[in-house]
Amino acid sequence: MLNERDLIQGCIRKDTIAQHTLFEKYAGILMTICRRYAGDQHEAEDMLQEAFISIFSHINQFKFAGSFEGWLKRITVNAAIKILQKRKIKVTGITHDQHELISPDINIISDLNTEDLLKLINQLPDGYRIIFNLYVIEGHSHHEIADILKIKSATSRSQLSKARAILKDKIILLQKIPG
Amino acid sequence: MISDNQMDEFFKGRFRDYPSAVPEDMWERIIEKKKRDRVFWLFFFRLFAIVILSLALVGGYFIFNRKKSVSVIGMDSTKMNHVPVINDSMKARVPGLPIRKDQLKLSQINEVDKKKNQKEKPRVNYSDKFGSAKENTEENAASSKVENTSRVSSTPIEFSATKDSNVAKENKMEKGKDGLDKKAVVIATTPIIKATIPDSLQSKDSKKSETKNKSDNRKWNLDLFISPDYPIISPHNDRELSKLSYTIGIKLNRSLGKNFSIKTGIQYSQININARDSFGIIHLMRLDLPVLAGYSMGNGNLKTTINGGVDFNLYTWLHVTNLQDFFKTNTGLSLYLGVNFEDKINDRFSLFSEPYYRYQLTSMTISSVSSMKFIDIVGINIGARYYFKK
Repeated sequence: MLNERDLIQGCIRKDTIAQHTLFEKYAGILMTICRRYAGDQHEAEDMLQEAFISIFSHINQFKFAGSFEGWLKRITVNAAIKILQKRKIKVTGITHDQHELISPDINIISDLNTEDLLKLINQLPDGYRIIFNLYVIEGHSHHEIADILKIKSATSRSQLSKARAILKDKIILLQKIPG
Repeated sequence: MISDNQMDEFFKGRFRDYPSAVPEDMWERIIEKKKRDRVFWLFFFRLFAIVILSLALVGGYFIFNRKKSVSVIGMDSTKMNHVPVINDSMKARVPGLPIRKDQLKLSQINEVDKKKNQKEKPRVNYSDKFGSAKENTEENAASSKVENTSRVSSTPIEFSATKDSNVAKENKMEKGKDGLDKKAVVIATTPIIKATIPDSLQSKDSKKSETKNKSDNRKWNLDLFISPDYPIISPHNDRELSKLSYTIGIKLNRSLGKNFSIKTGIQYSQININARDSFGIIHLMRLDLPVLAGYSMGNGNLKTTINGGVDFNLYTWLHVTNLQDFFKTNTGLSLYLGVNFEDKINDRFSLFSEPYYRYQLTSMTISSVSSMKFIDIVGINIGARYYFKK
């Protein structure tokens, strides 16, 4: 079994076996990232494909400083955003109806499994979804998001706020629907 | 009730390291995409090389044509042997053509002619020296040079120099009513003989052209050349950077007729690559046997030859020992395409430059290495050519 350093060096030498091992090891986790950003399964698969192409061609830039998995995730997020930007998604200008300022109970949320949460995120409009992912899951600041998406920080804040509100609405809606 | 922070932490925690199912054919799709990307880059680089070579070819053609065409006052070089060209000074002698006031009267011209003839007897003697002027005229009509013709036709004195020649007799010259000697017209329509131009007046170009014809007749010649090279590595990656490389070699050429030639020889190339993060600068050395065919154009000082063929690799080696298991010791075939521009120095020597592209047909890495590597080369051969005796 190859350790992580050997695996990376094998990939730098463009050794197909090392590349395939790396794919097997990380494809599942990276696929989840792609599913969070994509509008549908097909788009998520495209994102994963682009992510691995990018990983294999830029792996020589990994300096063995910091987490390799974190580096892989960053590459994947960048590949996902690149694909979404090609679709010319609109981060600004999306409006949503006034929502009730009611938050769901924490116990209800705890009952939801990860697949349910993924479905909820996928139902968000593109702009809301990207900002929610970048801020909440990836942990970027609004300033960083503004740089990445070439938008204003205020836009990022307002979009995040709307995204949260929509998610809460949907969770409450799930609560009301029996089963 | 849940706060925003609690909700954020909940989502973050749920998605941390959560694996999703990956389609079974995803790995094959990634491999396929990588191949498509490689083909795209190869296509891009080769298209670029073809464009450069085409530009060089077109540029060479225009340079050659510019040297070939000589501007001649009052002459149409394309019709010089068939259509009479009459300049202003001739018009004075042609019946029916208007005479401008500022032109000399015919009698004055004839007087000047006679005086000039007496002074320039050597010129008159050229007809005698070379025998029948008519014979010379016929022999040289087809090959008379534009430059020579223009020099004679623009000098009326020279027509009088052939007054007593056979040409004048043969053409049964008559005098017109106005006293105009019609021979002027007749001679103007007759191709001007080369023999009437003294050697001292012949241009360097015409002498060089003779030199060139001599060397053209020589069947064998030898090229010595050196080339600054730039390797194009495919598949393209940021890890390996091409560095300035070089080729030196020797080629033996054999002419096959006027336009075609074949050549072979031996050449040594050093391909320099900066393999960042691993081996540093790699020097890949190779010995090749080129077998080329050429098609030549042009008959002036500048000759353009398109060379194409195959380079057989004889041996490839590296200075880095631990990479010996990566590259083949024989990297197989490359296709070669180059455009040679040759400039004559004398009948034995010429200088040439030849932009070229060497396209690696077979992978240079051994079969057990997963990634195939092709290194094409763009360069420009600069060298000297020696023509052997017949």
